[in-house]
Amino acid sequence: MKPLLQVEKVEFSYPRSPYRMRIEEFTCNPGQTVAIVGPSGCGKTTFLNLIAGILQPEQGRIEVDGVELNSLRPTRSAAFRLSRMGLIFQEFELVEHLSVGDNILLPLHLGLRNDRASLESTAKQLAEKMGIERYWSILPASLSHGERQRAAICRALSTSPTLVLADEPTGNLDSSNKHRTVRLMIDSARKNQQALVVATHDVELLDSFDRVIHFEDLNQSREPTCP
Amino acid sequence: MNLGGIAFLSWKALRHRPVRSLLLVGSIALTLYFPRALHIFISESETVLEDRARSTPLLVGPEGSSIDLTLNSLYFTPQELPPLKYGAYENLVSQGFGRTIPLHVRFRAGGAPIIGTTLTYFELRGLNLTAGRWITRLGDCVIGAALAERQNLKPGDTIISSPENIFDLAGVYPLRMRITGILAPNQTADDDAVFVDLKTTWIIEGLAHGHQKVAAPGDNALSRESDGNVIRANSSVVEFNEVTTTNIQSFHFHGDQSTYPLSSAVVVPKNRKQRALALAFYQDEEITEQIVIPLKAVENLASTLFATQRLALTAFRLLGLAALGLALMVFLLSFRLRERELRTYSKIGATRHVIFCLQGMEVAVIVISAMTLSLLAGALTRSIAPEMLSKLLN
Repeated sequence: MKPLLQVEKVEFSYPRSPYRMRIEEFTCNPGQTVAIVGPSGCGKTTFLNLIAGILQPEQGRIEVDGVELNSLRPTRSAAFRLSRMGLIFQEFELVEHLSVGDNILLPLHLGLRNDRASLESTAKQLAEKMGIERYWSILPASLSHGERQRAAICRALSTSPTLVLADEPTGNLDSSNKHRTVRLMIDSARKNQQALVVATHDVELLDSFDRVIHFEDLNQSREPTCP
Repeated sequence: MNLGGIAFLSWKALRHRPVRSLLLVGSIALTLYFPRALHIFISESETVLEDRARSTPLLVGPEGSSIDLTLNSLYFTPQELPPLKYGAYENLVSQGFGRTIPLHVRFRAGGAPIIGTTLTYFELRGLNLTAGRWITRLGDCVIGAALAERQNLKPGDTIISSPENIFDLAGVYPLRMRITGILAPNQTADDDAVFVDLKTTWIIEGLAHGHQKVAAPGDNALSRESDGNVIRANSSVVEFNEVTTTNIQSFHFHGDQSTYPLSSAVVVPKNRKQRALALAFYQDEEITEQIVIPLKAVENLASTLFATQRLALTAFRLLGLAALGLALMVFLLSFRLRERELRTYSKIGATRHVIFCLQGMEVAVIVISAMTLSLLAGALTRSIAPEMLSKLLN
């Protein structure tokens, strides 16, 4: 089976920072779920941003679903991210002046060319599964941290992406919601043959994933690892 | 690119900060509105002034500012002008330069000017009555439509002239005037004026009065001897405050009528020759009155207004640039404050172009709203400018 995500010989560093990242190889198959663990600041978020095309590697190749991301122009890369990837951010990144529903449908407002009705229906089903459907019309400010995180997860999954990248998706959830949320992401990945890469340091959840990788094993750089 | 989605996101962002958005719309709208309003006012005032001046061929009045004389005679503005003596007016009439209409514009009643004139004035201005009848005797008046509406006056009602100075006990005597008719509106200063016969204004001046009848028994002003059979009468002057059918006969004028005051006289020559003769007549250095072509006086005034307008427009443009600069800074600061939100859009997959359009759309919504508001305010100003100018001129 051809991997859905392939990362080869990728090197990256921040300007004016001693931090360096060098990933020899990383792959993820369709329907596979991978947890990347490591201490805070070791570069997990940077790695996810590289895969998403938000950051550009200095060297190497990142291929998602047969498309070499780092060869795309920024506009094409952004369009690819919008249509094929679902991103869950550490700080939720919900837009404060949009209702929960509009936040979940944000990819549609930003130009995703999906059928609005079907996307809205998928999004509402997800919101129901996540237990946040009653907040659909209200602003995120009146939601708890956990509810906001669930809204962010709904936004990432509602577009039925081929690759889901989640940065500490359960960081603000209580134990029961943590398991419920991770189960939903994993079920969605398996059902829709999505590749799921989750950066986390929550050891409670690691058993649920197909693969667990320690980021320090992934990063081959001998330079300091904290950005 | 989903323009509907971009418009939706922009609208939501603007609605989320209504005070900021409204302040921006308001300040940009005002920046655009002020020069426009000034232009409207200047052009409307030129039109209003010239229309009236065109229908007033020549004016004769005391020496002094020709603009003051024109404004006083055409728009009844309360200028402090020396009087034109009635003798000078009679001299003008005797020259036969055409129709002559005397004007006395000094007093006010109910906040409106009292215009002492003759019936010829109404012919000159093409004024008709919508109610009542014309002036038939001393103390009668016809009033303009706006004044009638404002004060809810109708024929048969009365209006009292206002004292010029309430502390001046020896000053003009208030006269109660009988309203005989209401003039049809003509959107000029005539709409807000009280028209009386010239002699009625002289009564208000205190130049005419009545005497008591000595034979009237029981009058308190007459002193009786202690036995009650002898009446010691005098010819004391009584200032009636109203002309009635019973006292009208007792009114009479004292002194030299040629010294009685007027404000000006309108001259309507029948032809170019009469006009030229009238203009030439007042070139004589021995004549102390001046002749004015109102249209020229108004053009002079308009050119002064245009010069002022140019100066004001320059000031408005500089202020406008400063206001637009501030608005731009508010936008930039706002986008800086919303950097995280815009970065989220970018992370999710919005291109730079989409984000630029999003920002552009917000600016466009504000600017278009401000322009619309400014245009509406401009249209409103244009519709009310003539009335406002008429009020300002009065």
